Amino acid sequence: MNTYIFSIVTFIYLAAMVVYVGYLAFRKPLVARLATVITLAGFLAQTVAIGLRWYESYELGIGHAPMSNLYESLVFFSWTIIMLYLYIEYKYKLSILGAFVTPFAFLSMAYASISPSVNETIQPLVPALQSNWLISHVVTCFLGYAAFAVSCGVSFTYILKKRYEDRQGAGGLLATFPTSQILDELVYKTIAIGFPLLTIGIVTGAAWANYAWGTYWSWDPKETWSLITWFIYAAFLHARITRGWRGVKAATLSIIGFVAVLFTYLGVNLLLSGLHSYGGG
Amino acid sequence: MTDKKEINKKGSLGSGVAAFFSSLKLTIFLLITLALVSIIGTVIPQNMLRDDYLKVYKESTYATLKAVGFLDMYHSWWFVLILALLTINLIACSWKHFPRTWRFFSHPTRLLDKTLEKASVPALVWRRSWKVMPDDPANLLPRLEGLWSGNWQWSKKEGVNGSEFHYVAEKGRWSRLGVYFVHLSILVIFAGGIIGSLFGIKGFANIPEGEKVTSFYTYGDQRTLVELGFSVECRDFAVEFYESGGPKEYSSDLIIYDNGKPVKEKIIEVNHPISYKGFTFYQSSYGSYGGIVDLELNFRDTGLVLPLKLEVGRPLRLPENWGWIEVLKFEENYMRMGPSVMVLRDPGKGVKPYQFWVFLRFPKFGEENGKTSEFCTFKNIEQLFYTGLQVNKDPGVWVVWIGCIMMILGLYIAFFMSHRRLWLRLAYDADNPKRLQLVLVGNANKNQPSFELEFKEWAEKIKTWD
Ligand code: HEM
Repeated sequence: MNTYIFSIVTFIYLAAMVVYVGYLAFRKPLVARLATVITLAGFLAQTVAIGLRWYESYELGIGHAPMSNLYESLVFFSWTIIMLYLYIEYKYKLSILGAFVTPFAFLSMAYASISPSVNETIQPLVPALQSNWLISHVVTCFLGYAAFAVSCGVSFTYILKKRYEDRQGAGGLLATFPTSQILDELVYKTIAIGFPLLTIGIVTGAAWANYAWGTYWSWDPKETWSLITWFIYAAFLHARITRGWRGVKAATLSIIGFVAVLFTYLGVNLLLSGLHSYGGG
Repeated sequence: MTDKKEINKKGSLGSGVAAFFSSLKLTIFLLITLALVSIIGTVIPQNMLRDDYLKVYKESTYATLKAVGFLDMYHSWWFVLILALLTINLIACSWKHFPRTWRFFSHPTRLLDKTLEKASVPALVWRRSWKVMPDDPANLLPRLEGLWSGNWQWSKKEGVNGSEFHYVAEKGRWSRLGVYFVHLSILVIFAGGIIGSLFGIKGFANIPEGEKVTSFYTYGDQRTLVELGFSVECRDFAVEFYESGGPKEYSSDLIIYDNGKPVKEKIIEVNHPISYKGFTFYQSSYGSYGGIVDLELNFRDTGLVLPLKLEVGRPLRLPENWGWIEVLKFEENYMRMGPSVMVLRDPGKGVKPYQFWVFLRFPKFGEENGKTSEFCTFKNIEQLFYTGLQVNKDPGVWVVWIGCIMMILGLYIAFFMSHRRLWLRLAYDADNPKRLQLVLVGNANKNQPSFELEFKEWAEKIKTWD
């Protein structure tokens, strides 16, 4: 049942993405309103489906929060992206970002639903994952990842806009974008949200590892990649306060940071080996 | 002359070194370098045995990788050097920047003079004047205070500059320390890590059900025996499986004895360890080391059935002149036939000893083999388990957690709190002594847009005064 709703949600996010791109092209406020409504509808349906999946796992007698395998984490990832995006759109009235952020949510859902290597069934937890740390660890990590995804979308927008401003361009699509200054601020803001969350995610992971295995840090590839990601965003934060490193260089670091996020999240399991469990998914 | 030059040179060299170590460019460089080199260790498996490396690499490649430290790179001298440089950078940088921050505490700006007014963000400067003084200016202050919520504390008449009255208010001054807190936390975490690696011990203990240990072996090339100073008994071990066959939960019922007295007991599971006197015991693995096997030995000629209880690996002499029998080993699923044991039978009387398998699921297997004068049936096995415990002592772990909490709090302060200040000046116009002028100036070091909104609201309210 829940997987059925999730596939519908995938199409809703596809529709939202198309309408947001339409808004980029036509700049009609009504289109933006429509895109927001579609996204919100998708988000609500997805929330219900996550709740349902949680409930169903209890019906099956293996009750656990729906974030324990690759399928569930991809769904949760897109959910956090949309949640954070809706908040930013509401707070900063920037519907234009939607075109750059909804694709991440859509792709994540599409990958979860379509890829044959992603198992959709509700599976029991291996002993190592049966812990209350699981929820706090996974939720903080994914909220952080979502913030970085939004930041990456904004960084692309920033670089386009900055080029446009430097050319002293007039008219055209880019004219309607927020100024590069606002975008730069937004890249920073989203990372300022993501960085503490990633930090908490790494710390809860370490606390959990210490509790379960007796070592808070064992340089396992997933741990190491999360630290690599953390180093890159720390570099970003310091780049921004350094003259000569602001602007495009900092935005590039934010994009590289998100590539590292994706590698931490997916690449490590698909390409490297280690303790974390999503790989089998 | 030369002396002076020498000194100058030294001075500039010294300050050059100081500038290098306290520069933010070095920070960015080190952070990116750390990110890049850390990748190596995620691609090349770390700390494996030599033989396992040789399955993947040629001997010469292996030697090179080992020489440059790529096989244990997070402990290699150059990785530690980068961390040390980052530490020096961090300390030097904080040392350089702290005085400027401290000025907000030691010399807060109290007077709203022309320089401050000019240097401020236009959106955060607001002026109005009253043609006729509305009230005694001294009475304006209570009215002003009513505008701001309780935690904005206005200073009483900060200074009188001729006929000018100055007031200041501020919030969250200490939030400027958040960044230092974050930086300090990194040093604390490093310190915790160093304490752990100097004084920590990691090892393992396998305890058979019903037995006790008083020591354990450390991990690593040089395994050393560490005395616990107390003893740990495994009363019972249990493993549960999911229907799909994967392990669901395994648990050990442990009792700790100190000076011969039981002091602590707990059924530990994965994720639920037990701690005593600085040592923590984690459920990490288990294994079976044989068991008690119920066999029946059938003699075809007499029809006699002899029930036997045999411990795996321990030969048994049978009564009469029936010879010897031993269960050599047990397998969970030998040749996909389910639980099986291999039996060694020495019937004596000049007959050669022979070995054979018997299967729990196929009790007729031996009987149907008509060539033998006797056969065995496998009735049951009660497996014996040992529990595999990881033993750990890390006196630095608390320091690490304190550092982590400091870092999280520090990040919260650094990113989500701001230092906001307001200055207010009331003054009679120089040309028209009846005319009162009010200037309000604001300043926020973070999150300025939302502060501007707040500022505008106050201005709107003051506007409504007569
Ligand atoms: C892993 C190491 C480090 C982490 C996690 C870290 C973290 C941070 C954070 C979160 C901020 C606040 C940024 C902002 O407000 O946008 C910051 C600011 C800063 N950091 Fe670091 N930092 C690290 C290492 C260093 C080092 C080695 C230096 C030495 C040069 C340094 C110098 C600074 C400076 C000068 C600021 C700005 C302070 C201010 O705004 O007054 N940081 N750091």
